[in-house]
Amino acid sequence: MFRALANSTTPVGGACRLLFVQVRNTTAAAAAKTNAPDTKKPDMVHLKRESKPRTKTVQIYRWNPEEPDKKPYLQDYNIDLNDCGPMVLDALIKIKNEMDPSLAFRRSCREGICGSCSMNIDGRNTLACICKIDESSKPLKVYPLPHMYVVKDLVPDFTNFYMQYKTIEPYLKRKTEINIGDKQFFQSVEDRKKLDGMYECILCACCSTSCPSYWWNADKYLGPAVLMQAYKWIVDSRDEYTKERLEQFRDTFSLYRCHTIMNCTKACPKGLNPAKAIGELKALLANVATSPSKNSATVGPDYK
Amino acid sequence: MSITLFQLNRQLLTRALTRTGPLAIRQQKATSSTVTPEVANYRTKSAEWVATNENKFKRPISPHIAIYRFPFQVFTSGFHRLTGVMLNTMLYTAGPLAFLATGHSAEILHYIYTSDIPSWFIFSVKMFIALPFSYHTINGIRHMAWDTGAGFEQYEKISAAVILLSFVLAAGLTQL
Repeated sequence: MFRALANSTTPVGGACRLLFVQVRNTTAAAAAKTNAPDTKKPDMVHLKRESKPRTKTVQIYRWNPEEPDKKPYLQDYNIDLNDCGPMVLDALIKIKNEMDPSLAFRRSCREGICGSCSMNIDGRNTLACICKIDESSKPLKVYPLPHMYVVKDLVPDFTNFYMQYKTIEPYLKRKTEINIGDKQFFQSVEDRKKLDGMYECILCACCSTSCPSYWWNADKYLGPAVLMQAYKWIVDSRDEYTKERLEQFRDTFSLYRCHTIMNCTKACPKGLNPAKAIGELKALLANVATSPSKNSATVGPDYK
Repeated sequence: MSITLFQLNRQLLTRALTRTGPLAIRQQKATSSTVTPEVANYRTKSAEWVATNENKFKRPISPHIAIYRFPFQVFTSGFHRLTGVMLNTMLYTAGPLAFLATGHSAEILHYIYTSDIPSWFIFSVKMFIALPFSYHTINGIRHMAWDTGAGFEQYEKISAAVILLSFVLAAGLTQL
């Protein structure tokens, strides 16, 4: 009966719950006291810091646009890991706050979803906010994304990357006349599954800047990130411009500079597979794979 | 399948040739006529972007080969290219060599096998010549599979299989 009272949502129930909690705590305390003496009591007021500071050397690529003739260099910073969050971005923010405010890097969400803090850490392209600091005594090497024009320190110039993304027209295009707002574009569960593994792309450019082919031909080869998004729009059953989207790649450079080196899939911090998407694109262009079947409910003159 | 095996082979062959072989030059010259307007527009804009970065801002290019930690698959891909080049040079040198040895091949073989060159040395030289053939062929099959969109998962296992098979095939070829 006490239980039933305690479960109710009235003030009486609330009072019963409070009473129950207090009774439980005191009995538990009594039991603990009698069972074993508590030597390590957590003292909330005086938190004891670990006496030995764990130093880590962080080597960061620096270049100042206000002194363009000075060659880029590596600057060393020593940080105490006891006083720092676990991720590389925490270390960078700590350095910027406490040691060198002139350090420049992009960051926003701190949880691996915005794609701002993409950089080359210990030789691999990842997002700094989800890359754990390696606790070994080796220096941590932080470079900007490879083979990109550097605006300052760790900030690369993304203008070209965004221009390439624009060329694939990453939005829904339809030919059938519709009144906007009338109906939804229905999409079957199977058709929606085809987009899995591609819509999650955050355009961080880790994959494109890990591709040696993109390094040598960044001005003409579109790169895995953009090509995977192009494939996503081609495979999307709601889009009706499939043929035109495919025809865009019928030249030597935009798609065919890919030699399946597979660095892109290895580098993706979200675990996506751009190499597979590019392979499917090539198959579509060679007419080996047929165009993915469109959900006829939303395509064609009968859709009104 | 909507196309015949013959058409498939023809398309794959054409594409293989267009990417690296004699047709590549013709493709590059024809690029301007086959490029879509968006791509053509982008090309001019990207050329401007390169010029601005280089000349106006004098921005450096961030380090790449020097700092990048290349994963293991770059070696399989690089080896494919290397064996391709090796095969090419071997093809070009084998012709004149064969011409020089016409009529004397029996003599040469007799000389090699009766001399004091240890058999393991002969075996390793033969392997050195046979490996590019076998590796490039088997990896080439894998590339063709990729071109049809298949086999993008399990990279490590497939690579290991490719390397193993290429050694086996090369060892078999040395017995000839």
